Amino acid sequence: MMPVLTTFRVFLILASAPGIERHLTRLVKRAIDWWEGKKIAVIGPTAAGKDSFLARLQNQQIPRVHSNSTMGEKVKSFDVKLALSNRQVVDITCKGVINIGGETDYRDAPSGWLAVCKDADVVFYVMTVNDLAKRRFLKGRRIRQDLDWLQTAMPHLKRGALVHILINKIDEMIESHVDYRGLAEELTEELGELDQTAREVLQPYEARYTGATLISMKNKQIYTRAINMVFRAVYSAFHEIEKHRKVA
Amino acid sequence: MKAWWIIPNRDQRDDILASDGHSIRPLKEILDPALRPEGFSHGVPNEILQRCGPQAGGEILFAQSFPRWNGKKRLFVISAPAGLDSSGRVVHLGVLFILEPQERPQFDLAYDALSAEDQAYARTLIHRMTSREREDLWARSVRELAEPAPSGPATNVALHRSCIPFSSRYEVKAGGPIRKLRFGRRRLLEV
Repeated sequence: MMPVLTTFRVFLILASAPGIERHLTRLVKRAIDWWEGKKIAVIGPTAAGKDSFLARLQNQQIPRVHSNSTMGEKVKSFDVKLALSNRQVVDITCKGVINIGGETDYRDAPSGWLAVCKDADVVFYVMTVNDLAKRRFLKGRRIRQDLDWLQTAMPHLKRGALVHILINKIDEMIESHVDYRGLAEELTEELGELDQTAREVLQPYEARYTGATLISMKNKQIYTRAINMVFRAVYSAFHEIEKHRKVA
Repeated sequence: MKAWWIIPNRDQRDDILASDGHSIRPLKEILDPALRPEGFSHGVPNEILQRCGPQAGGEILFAQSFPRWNGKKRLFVISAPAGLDSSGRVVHLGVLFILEPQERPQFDLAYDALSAEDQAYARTLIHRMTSREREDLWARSVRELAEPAPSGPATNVALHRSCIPFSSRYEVKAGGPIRKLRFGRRRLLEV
């Protein structure tokens, strides 16, 4: 009989599966320094968890009065409190964070996604694990359309701006499965396909795609673990780009 | 005058839908996203909802006016909270008007094509905009904004977190009541 595990324990097991673990690495000091004062933008389809992500970053509960975002709204600079695995807590200042609605109407409007992304150092694209499972990143489907949009937007973004995909609601997927090994295999395959699609679609800017990370905005333990990985992955991508630039 | 309802996105669709009262189609077929003015909002901004809190949610009316939109027209849009979507988030019912520069919006609008739930919100919105109840300051602020004015983009109540600055005659106090600004129109932007 399968032992009863918490959602977080299952997440850790999933996170160590080959093909998934490379998306998940620990944060280092240099990465923390790099993140200080960065400006971020949060985009993605409707109800993917953009507002919840911003609330989590600010160490806040998801607001009681919660709405689908109807226009580009600025969020004041804030300190991200990151709990590291060695029980250390670090503060990272994020400046001028911007969030906007997920309907394609916002994506395609001039004051929509492009306006909120254009000054960002890091653009977070938030989707759900359900989008991944339904392969909505295949041609003609919503996630793929958004990736196509990102490709056309890249020349208009800040020079060197990086893009990271957050795949939210992994907790719901874990809680609806009992065969964790099967789930890990599925996720590995789907993440690989998404990764490949993102790199292909974003050419010639694929180096600025920093990967995709499984996360849960709802489950604080998973969120804390995952956001460490995200911050490290983004920094690593930046570091790689810089290394290549210096060599060139 | 042309007018369309902007329908609450209760099903978390990828597109926002609109209706002339008789049929429903994507809003982007009516108002090309590329032509939407900067700062155009498809509902009540989060900052207004948060400042008002859950108790005052039913009172909120948010309006925007964009004079000289796309040449000589005026774009005027009113939004109100209209219940919750499938994950419990506030959704919004809106009315979009495309007006001549000196034209005022009229509220003899059909809403047969809307769902029964949305029709109730549509009736309430029309009633508030036409009944002229003295104590409904939110509706009054929208009526004042609806008066033809040659100036730039404006909202009925001041926004602090919008990416785009708007002029406003009213401001929202914590908990929901609004009050008229003493020194006329102000351009507020705090970031």
